Amino acid sequence: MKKIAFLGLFALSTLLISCEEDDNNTNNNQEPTDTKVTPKFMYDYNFGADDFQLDQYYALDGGAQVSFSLASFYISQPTLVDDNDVETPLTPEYIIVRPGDGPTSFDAIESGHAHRLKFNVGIDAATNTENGASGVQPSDFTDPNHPLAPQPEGMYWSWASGYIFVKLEGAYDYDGDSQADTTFKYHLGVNDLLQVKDVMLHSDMAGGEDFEVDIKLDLKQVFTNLDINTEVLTMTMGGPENKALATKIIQNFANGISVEKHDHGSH
Amino acid sequence: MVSRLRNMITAVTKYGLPKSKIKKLGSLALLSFFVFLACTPNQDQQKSTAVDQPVSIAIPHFPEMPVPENRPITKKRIALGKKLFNDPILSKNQDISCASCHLSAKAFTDGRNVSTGTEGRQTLRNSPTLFNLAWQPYLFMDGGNPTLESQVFGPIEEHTEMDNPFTEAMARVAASAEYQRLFKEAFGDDVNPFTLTTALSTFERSLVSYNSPFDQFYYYGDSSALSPSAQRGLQLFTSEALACESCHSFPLTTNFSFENIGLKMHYQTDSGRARVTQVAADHGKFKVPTLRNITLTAPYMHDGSVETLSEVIDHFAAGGVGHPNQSKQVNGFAITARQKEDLLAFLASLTDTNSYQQYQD
Ligand code: HEC
Ligand code: HEC
Repeated sequence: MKKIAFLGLFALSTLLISCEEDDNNTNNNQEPTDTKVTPKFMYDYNFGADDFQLDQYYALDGGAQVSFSLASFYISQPTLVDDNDVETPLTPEYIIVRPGDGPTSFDAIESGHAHRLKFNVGIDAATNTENGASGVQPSDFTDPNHPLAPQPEGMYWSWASGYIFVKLEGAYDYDGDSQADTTFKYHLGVNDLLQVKDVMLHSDMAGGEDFEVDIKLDLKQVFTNLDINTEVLTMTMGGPENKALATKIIQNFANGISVEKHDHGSH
Repeated sequence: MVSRLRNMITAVTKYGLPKSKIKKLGSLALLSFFVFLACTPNQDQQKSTAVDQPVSIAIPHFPEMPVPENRPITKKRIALGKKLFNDPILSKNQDISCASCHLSAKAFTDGRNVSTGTEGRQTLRNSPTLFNLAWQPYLFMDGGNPTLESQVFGPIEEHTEMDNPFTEAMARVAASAEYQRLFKEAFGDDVNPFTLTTALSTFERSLVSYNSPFDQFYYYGDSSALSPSAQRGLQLFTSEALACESCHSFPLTTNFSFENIGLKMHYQTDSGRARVTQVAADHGKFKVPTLRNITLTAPYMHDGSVETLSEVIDHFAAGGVGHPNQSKQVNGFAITARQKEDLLAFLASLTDTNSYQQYQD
C-alpha cells in the first residue's frame, strides 16, 4: 500500500517533464538524425578455420574429435571509449550469446571516434549474486525475455547462487570414429573469473549509419593445454582442481574472442 | 542531467537491471523509474486493482520477519504458492512435487536418510524442515543460496530432484488457464520468473512454528506447559557444560552459523560450507539447523546418518570425532540416563505444527 501511494506521488510530480523526454527519446531511436549511430555486434562462431555449429564433430590434435551441445556465454557492460578516454556505455547492458545468433542492435549513440571497445565475458561482480543477496537474481525479472532471467540452458547456479558466465557442454570422440566416448561439462563463472576484453577499434563512427563490430569466437582455442582425457568436468566450485580447470578454460575461451570493425566487402 | 535521466529510462526498458537493483542505484535512478512509469501502461497500477488481503505475520517473541518490500505477503499469494508446492507440474516427469520431499505431517521433511527425486535418484542431503524459513539469512546447509526466491530454481532444475529447466516448468504453469487466472488474481500479472518464485516463497514465509509448549512456558509464563522433566531438560540445554543453546539459540533454535560438529573424520561426499567458499577451514561445516519440531524430522544430520535423538545426544556427549575444524563448543560432557530423558523431554516440547495453519485456506 505504502509503495502504491509513493508511486502515485512520483508519477504525478514527474508526469509533465517525463512525457516530453520520452517523446524525444523515441524519435531519436526511430529516425536517427545525422549525428547518431547505431552500434551493432555481429557474432561469428568458428572452430579453427571452419564455421561452427552445434552437434557437429570437429577435429582436435591426435585424431580425436569434439562436438558441442551447448556453447552459450554472457557479454556485459559493452562500452565504447574515444581518444580522450570518454566512455559511452551501450544499451542493452547484458547479452546472452549462442551459436547462430543474429546481431545485437544497441541504442543509438552520438557519432564520433571509437578508439577502443570494452566488455566483460561474464556478469559484472556488482550484479552477480555470488556474495549474497545484494546482486541480481533470475527470480527478480517479470520480463522472461531479459537475458538475466532464467534461460533454457540454465545460466545460473541454483545450488550456489551466481550466474554461469560461459556454459560449454558436449562430447569427445577419442578414436575418431564419430561415436561419443565421453561427455564434457564446463560451467564457468564466479566473480574472480570475469574476463575483461579491451580491444582497439580505431574507427570513425559516421552519423546516420550503423556501426557494426564483429565478435569472432574461435572455439578451438578452448582446448589449448587441455587434457581432454581427464579434464572433462568442472562446475568452477567444489574444490581447487575445479577452480583451476575453470580458470584455464575461461581464459582460453576469452582468448578465442577477437573483435574487428565489420568489413562489408568480405561478406 | 536530462540526458542522463534519459539513459537511465532506456536502461530500465531495454535489458538493464530489474527494479530491485535500480533502487540501489539511488534516488536518481528511482526518480527516472517513476518517470518511465508515468507514460507507459503501468503494471504496478494493475497490481493495485487486484483484490487481495495483505497478511501480516508478526510473532512477538521472534525477530521481525524480513519480507522483501516488493513481495508483500497476501492471502491469495499464500494459497497460490501452496497449490504450486503440492503440484507435480513443476517436475520433468510430472511425478514429483515439493511436497514429495517436504511432507507437512513430518514438519515438511520426508523421513528418509537422503531424499529420492525423479526416476529414483538420490539427493546428496537429508530433507530439512521448512518451518520458519523466513528468518533464514541464506538457504541450504552450505548457505549457498541467498534468497527464498532463487532457492526455487534449486529443486526444479536439480538432476536428482525435479530435473526440469525452470523455463519449461514456467511454460507449463503458464499454459494452464486455471493458473493464469490465479496469477492474475494474486499478482495482477502473468506467470513469469518473478511471480512464480514469489508465489512459492510467500507460501514458505507463511510456514511459521512459534507456539510450542516451550514457547508457552518460556515466553508466555505458562508454568504448566512443560513437565518437570522437560524443565530440567531446558536447564541442561542452556547449561554451560552442554552449550546446546550457544548454537541452537532461542527463539529460532539456531544462530545460523556454520559449524563442524565432528560427525565424522572425513566429509568426503559432502564438504558442507567449503563447497561454496572453497576454504579448507570450512570443510565439514554445516548451517546450524533449527530444533523446532525435531521429534518429527528423523533421521538427523545433513546426511540423515543418525537415526534417533538419543544417538544425537550420545554424539555430543562423546565430544565428536575430533575433526581439525571441529567447534570448540563440541567438547563432550557427562550425562546420566535420567538427564538424557530430561533433555529428550525438552526437545519434544519444541513441537508445534498447528500455528501456521491460520495462514492457510
Ligand atoms: C527430491 C526431494 C526434494 C524436492 C522435490 C524438493 N526438495 Fe527442497 N530440499 C530437499 C533437500 C534434500 C534439501 C537440502 C538441500 C541442501 O541443504 O543442500 C532441500 C532444501 C530446501 C530448502 C532450504 C531449506 C534450508 O533450511 O536451507 C527449501 C527452502 C526447499 N528445499 C524448498 C523446496 C521447494 C519450494 C520445492 C519445490 C519447488 C522443493 N524444496 C522440492 C529435497 C527436496
Ligand atoms: C557448535 C555448535 C553446536 C552445538 C554446541 C550443538 N549443536 Fe546441534 N547441531 C549443530 C550443527 C551444525 C548441526 C548439523 C550438523 C550436520 O548436519 O552435520 C547440528 C545438529 C543437531 C541435531 C540434528 C538436527 C537435524 O535436523 O538433523 C540435533 C537434534 C542437535 N544438533 C541437538 C543438539 C543438542 C541437544 C546439543 C547440546 C548437547 C547441540 N545440538 C549442540 C551445531 C551445534
